[in-house]
Amino acid sequence: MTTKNRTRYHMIKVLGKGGFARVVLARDLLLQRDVAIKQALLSDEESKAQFRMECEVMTRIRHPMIPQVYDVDAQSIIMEYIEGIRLDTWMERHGAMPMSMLKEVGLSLAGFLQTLHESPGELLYLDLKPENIIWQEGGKIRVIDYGTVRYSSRYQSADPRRIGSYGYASPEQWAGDAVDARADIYTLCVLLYDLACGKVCAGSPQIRFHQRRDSELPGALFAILHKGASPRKEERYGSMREFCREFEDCFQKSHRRYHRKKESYLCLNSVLLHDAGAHGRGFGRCATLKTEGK
Amino acid sequence: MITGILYDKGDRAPVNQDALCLESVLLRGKKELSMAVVCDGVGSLDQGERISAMIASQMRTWFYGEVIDLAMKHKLSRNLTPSMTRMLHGIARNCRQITAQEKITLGSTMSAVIICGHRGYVYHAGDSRIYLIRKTTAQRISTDDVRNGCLSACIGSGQFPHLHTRMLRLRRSDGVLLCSDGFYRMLDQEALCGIMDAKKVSSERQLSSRLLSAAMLLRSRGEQDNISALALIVGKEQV
Repeated sequence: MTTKNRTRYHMIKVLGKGGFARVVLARDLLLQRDVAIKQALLSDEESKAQFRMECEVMTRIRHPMIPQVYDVDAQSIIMEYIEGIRLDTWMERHGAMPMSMLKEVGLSLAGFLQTLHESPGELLYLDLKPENIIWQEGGKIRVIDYGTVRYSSRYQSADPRRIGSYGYASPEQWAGDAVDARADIYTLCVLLYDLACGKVCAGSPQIRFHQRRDSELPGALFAILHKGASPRKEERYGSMREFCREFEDCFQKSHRRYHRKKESYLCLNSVLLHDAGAHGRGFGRCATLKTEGK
Repeated sequence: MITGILYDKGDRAPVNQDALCLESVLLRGKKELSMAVVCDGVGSLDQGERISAMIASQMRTWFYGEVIDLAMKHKLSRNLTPSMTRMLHGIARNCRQITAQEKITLGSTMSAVIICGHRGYVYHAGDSRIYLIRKTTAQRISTDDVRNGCLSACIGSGQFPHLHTRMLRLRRSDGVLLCSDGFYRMLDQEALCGIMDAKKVSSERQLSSRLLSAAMLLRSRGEQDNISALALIVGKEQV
């Protein structure tokens, strides 16, 4: 908040805080409405560039799922306060999402991502996860947190920094390779799979799919999500548009017979351990010396 | 297959520059396919933990993307090595891009074993080691890429190394141990055999416990480096 606006916004509470920024719920005393204010915490060049990118995306792209921006300055974004329930909380309370709701959520998110991908420069969201999606009363979906939005590697050199959240980020994202729209397709499919099953399974997405391959998920839907979340991007859908078509088709034409690819292996063990920002722990047994107190 | 993992940073090291990956699937036809990888980031270069993590993660992706397919089509013997080489070249290319952009130099050792049924495919570059423990003998399978006491080859920004390859025929109760130099430096053959004694180890808990004891012994002997080890004991169902 700038000095001249200090008296206009009355801070109510902190909604969330991360490494780069915090989000505060405030009351706009002039217009008598609640607003969310995202304040940058760091002032290095990289953080400033990231913040500028976020402002640009939220103001330039018009989509009903993007919160409306009211005002922007060097260190803060004042935007619409999104009231509702986060999807991770929704899953905790309700478990597996009904198919009708999953269809709406899936198509809404796919449409949102398609808008980003088809914008000039091919924007990628890269951090789709239940915590960043709000389910509002009336069934409306909103996506918050645009701090990870980037231009596709087709238009700029690959960003070797790891962007995204473990368990949802695509393998090429996690490896710091070049990313394109297929990274968002991967994330969306993993997310929808978790929503359909009702909880996040720890470990890599491959584990989730293989552990639950006998779940009650309709075979056609399973096949679509499994293809979209393939570790190799060449095997995924080529575009969000293509994914939307198949996804919608799967619900509408349920009389068509999809042949679910027969799972030809069962995952027994999966462990990835490293110290480069995130640990992946599967279900193997690992020994580590405890060094607490030294 | 019984597996055990040891991954210890140690008190003094700010970060663990080792990375481990263990993947194991049961194929249709009840054959077990496993991949074990140990990478040790070169401490004298930059961000060793980053390159070792990159290699381990890429290998995991490669395992699910290509290796399982090759195993199911019975094409491991012919196509595994070219596939692995292509994948590692891709990693080296990425490292060179990072070097050009960020002005840092990356390098890591890589020791990997892919086991399908009774066959083991060994790939190695650097000074991490792979041992085959059979009855009371610990045979070093890998060749140390060391010259005048210094590491002479690794995967990373520099020249792509000569990849050591070997095929093993495994027998029941054989042990395969992959480890970083922090693990093997102060352990003799007898100690290695003791860890993997198939007569005394019948569960993952026991194997991990033995690895932990080895780590405590190493720390008591003054080892300060990161200590990492992956141990696999071949079961009777596999051979």
